[in-house]
Amino acid sequence: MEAQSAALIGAGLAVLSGIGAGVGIGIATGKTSEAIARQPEASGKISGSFLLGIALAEATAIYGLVVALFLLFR
Amino acid sequence: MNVSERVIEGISIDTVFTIHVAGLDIPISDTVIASWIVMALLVLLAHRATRRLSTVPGRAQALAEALVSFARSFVEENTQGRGRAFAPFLGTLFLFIVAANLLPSLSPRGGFGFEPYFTIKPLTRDINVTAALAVAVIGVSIGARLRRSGLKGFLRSLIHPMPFMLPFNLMEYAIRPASLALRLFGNMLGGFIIMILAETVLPLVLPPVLGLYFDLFDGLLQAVVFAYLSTIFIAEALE
Amino acid sequence: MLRFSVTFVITLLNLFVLYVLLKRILWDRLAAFMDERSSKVRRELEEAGAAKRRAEELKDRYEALLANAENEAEWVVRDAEDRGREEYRRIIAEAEAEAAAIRRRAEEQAIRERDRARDELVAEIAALAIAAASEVTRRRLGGADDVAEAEAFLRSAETGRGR
Repeated sequence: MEAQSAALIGAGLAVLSGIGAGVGIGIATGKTSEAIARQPEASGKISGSFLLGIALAEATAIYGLVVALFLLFR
Repeated sequence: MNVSERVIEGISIDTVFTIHVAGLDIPISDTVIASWIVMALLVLLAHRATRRLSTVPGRAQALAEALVSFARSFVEENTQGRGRAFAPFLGTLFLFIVAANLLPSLSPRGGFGFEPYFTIKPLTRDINVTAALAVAVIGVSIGARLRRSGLKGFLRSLIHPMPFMLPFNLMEYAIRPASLALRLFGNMLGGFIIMILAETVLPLVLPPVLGLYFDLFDGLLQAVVFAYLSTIFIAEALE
Repeated sequence: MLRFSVTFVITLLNLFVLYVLLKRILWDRLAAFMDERSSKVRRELEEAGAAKRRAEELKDRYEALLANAENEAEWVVRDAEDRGREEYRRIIAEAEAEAAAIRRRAEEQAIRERDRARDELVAEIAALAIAAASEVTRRRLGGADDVAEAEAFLRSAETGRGR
């Protein structure tokens, strides 16, 4: 297998990390909705930690993307 | 020009000119020039907003006042009132990232044989720019910890719960700026690549719609997230 | 793509310069201005509150004074009315008393007039009787009987007058 083909396959595999980020952000969003429904008066603090949480969950997808880009455009 | 060539051309960073100083060649990339434009714009706007301060603010002054009071109250709230002195730094960081993310989407774009006189490509597509921002944040948070608890307190915080945590605590100082830098870089570069693809697939139709999300919303959101995480890191250093 | 370049250093410098500039012309300037303005507004609000309190105090005092004045005016009017009514009653009583006195005097005078008229009448009658009697006597005076009769008549006339 040529190196270029291997790099393309690797890039494709790397962006699979988006799955985990998607699931994580989905769970965080669902829990945030529940929390705001339970305590609407705390929505400011809840959405603050939600933003932080999705930023951290998203990081894995971003790492995958960066790896994929690195493999594609070495 | 096929798709991958366009993408490669889009994400590549060009050296516009080189400065020769003291026997050193300093290449000035287009992202540096873009960040100088962003800085000049911010300084001009700030100067215009605060040139004549009146008790009843005009539009520019009202916006600047809202920004200042929001930054102060936000930082104060998140640092339990200890981080008031860091509000200007975090606010400047936020303003820079917002302007850096939004300005390129306002710049003219080429296509259909039309070559604009200049185009500003996103400066956050350069890992060096975002890494510099993240390193500055971590540097400031280390400085805040030193100022708050002294060198002894800083060293003690490295072995905080137990001595064997030392490598992990040290790793945190590498992982945090890396994750900050890569998050901003990856988001903006990903969005930029998707915009290039959209322009290739369906020009004139897709870019304005997708641009609302990838340029405006994501640009603002990433600036907020970056400033928020920076605030939290500094707040943690001040505990 | 993930290659370190001098852009990193330049961006650090850029950020520092931007921070210094914005801190001077935006953050510190506006923060100082806003703090000064809010303290000024607070001071002015306090002053306005004090002025309002003072004005309300004055108003209360004036209202109390005004209420007193109204009471006094009412009292004066009532006093005047009382005195007027008294005066009226006094004048009426005086007038009535005077009227009664006048009536009494008139009655007394009338009685006196009547008595005098009667006395005059009696005196006249007596004079007439005396005159008649002397006439009669002069004409046929002779006997003692006649003299006695004349004297009796005179006496009777006198008693009639005395009555």
